[in-house]
Amino acid sequence: MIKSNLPRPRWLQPLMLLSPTTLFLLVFFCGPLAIMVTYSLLEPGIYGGVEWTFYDQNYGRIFGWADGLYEEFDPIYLETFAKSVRLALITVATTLLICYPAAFWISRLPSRTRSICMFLITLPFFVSMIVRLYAWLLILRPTGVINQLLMSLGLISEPLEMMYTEGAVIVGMTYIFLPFMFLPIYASIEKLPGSLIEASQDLGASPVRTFFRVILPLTLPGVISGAIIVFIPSLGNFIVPGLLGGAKVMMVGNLIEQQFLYARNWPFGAALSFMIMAAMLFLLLIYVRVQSRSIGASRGEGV
Amino acid sequence: MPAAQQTASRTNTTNDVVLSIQCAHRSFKTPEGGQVHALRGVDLDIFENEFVTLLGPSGCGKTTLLRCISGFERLDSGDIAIGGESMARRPAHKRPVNTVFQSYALFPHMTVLQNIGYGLEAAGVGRRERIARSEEALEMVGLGDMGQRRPEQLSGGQQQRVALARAIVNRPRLLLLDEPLSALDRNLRQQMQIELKRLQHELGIAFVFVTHDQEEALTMSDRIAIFNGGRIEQLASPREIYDHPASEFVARFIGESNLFSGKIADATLISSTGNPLPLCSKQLDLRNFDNGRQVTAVIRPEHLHLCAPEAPQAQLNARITEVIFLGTEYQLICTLNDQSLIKVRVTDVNTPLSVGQNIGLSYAPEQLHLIAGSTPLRGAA
Ligand SMILES: Nc1ncnc2c1ncn2[C@@H]1O[C@H](COP(=O)(O)OP(=O)(O)OP(=O)(O)O)[C@@H](O)[C@H]1O
Ligand SMILES: [Mg+2]
Repeated sequence: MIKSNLPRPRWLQPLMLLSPTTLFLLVFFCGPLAIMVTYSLLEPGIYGGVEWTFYDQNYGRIFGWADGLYEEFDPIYLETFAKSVRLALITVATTLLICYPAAFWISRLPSRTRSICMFLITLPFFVSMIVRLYAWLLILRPTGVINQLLMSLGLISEPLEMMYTEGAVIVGMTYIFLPFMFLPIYASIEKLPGSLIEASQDLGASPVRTFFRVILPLTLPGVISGAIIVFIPSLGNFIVPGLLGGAKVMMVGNLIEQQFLYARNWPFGAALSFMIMAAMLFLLLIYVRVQSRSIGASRGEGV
Repeated sequence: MPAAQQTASRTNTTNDVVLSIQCAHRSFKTPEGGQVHALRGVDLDIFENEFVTLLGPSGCGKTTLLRCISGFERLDSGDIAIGGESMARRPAHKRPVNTVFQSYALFPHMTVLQNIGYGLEAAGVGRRERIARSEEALEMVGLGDMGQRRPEQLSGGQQQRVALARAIVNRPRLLLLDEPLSALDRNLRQQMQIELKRLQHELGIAFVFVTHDQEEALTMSDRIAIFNGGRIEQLASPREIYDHPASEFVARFIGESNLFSGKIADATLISSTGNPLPLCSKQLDLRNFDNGRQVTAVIRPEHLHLCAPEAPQAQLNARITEVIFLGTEYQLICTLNDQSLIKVRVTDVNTPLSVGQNIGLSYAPEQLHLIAGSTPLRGAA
């Protein structure tokens, strides 16, 4: 390599930090985020668009300091947010309960069967999400497969109300996000050496103890990654509740969609979006903290 | 050929038997649809306080046997009993054995002390006692001050010691060690060999030790089980195995050896080497070997002596093909009349030796050990 002896101008130095990654993040992450934050603090225009004046009433409508004159506080936004968090958490729990045992089981299969299973797991990615959700509609609706089966068996006399319930939304989100939970968990289980499980048994630990003391702690990073990448898109999802929850089960995503597309109140939509973003950033920060600490500990810095 | 010649030199009563394996069979299906017989009829009794080594070529079933004992593999037929109790229906975590794994298998998310205390914790030993006993075990393997480290902060040899401490702290009836020293360098290996022996004396636990290294087996064991193709070829003390190998396989596998096969005639062996080789008549009587019997004779290189080619005591005539200097002695490779090669050890390094020289070789007939039959050596597996 040829080293130039010429000193580079001082003003150029900060620009050199612009690696492709930094640039990518600046353009596609920080940029939109900045636009959104800015919009959420502006006044909505009368016919859509924005007025360039500072306006704190968007957040006021959500958190309670609205003047009650032009904008009104409504607890529905916080309630919907809370409900979204709850549904997202339930989705995380159900996907986890399905994926952990499945990943464990698949990782112990002979390699041929295993690759077939992995293919089946990734198969849904090839089909449009909307199409797959419509399939659930056919299964759950009053004249759907489940109801017809139960009625023909004589177990129920009239169709169960399964569509447009929280249950339907949870089923749909669980279904959509299963692969997102499965893959990181599978990766961490695959990495777990079988000899550690045998060592635990050899030392007299029952299968239950082996699971909680050895298998779970060592696969926890995969579980946490899976939980985060399921939680984040679940929280902001509007397609599943839109199709399977209808008007009865609304999530924050649906509110945002309404504000941007129908009410044409961009600043308020931006404020709602920022609420989700803040929650996610908060989560990610915690995650990064935990990650770096566990890496530090394994490098011996924390002992 | 006798499948397993049990020449137990010990006089133990059956009460002392810690581990008793009877007629253990185990085969695996291969992905190609065939079958591998990993164990085919293994009988083995191990006594209290004994150090038994399983020695044999790769793939002969040593690891499979250990895994059957510890409960990670089941037997197709036969039985394994520990302390007189059949283990057939006992899962691995309820067996009174502990294993030192070849890969050490230390838990990476626990400190060294937590690793060692794991078995005690599972057994319900209280925290105080657990820590005290773990520290004592750590002290025993010479790592007293490393209890708070994590496994990856230790060298390979140190990890090995932790694995050992983790196994012995539970005071098992039987300790299984699957090539525990194979990852260590030569010096550390020898040091660990001595320490393992010391620990075994101190603890009074029976050790079943697997190795590829015959030197290791000879120096450490009370008895050695020579494995071949899923069977025990010979189970005896190192001395016995060296001096009286039960089969050609054992003779070739342990130490250097020269083998002659032929027929017995009037207390000599008629073989292709030309000269009739004198045999020890006492040995012939003892083993009931009659004239005409096919046998293989084994003689170790150090039991052959040089003499002049025409000397009356010369029992073999040979020409030196190669002279290898080994520091304190020479190893000669000589060609016999029938073009077969023979190895000779010469301890007197002042004898003038040169390639192409004709020599005579003599031996004491009692040093020639006889093996019944002369079946050619089975494939090395
Ligand atoms: N789970 C298994 N499935 C199929 N074949 C197996 C399995 N375990 C062992 N074998 C086969 O059984 C035979 C004995 O294997 P084993 O591991 O006991 O050999 P070993 O004596 O320990 O060899 P090494 O000295 O190389 O460790 C081998 O031929 C091996 O391929
Ligand atoms: Mg092995």
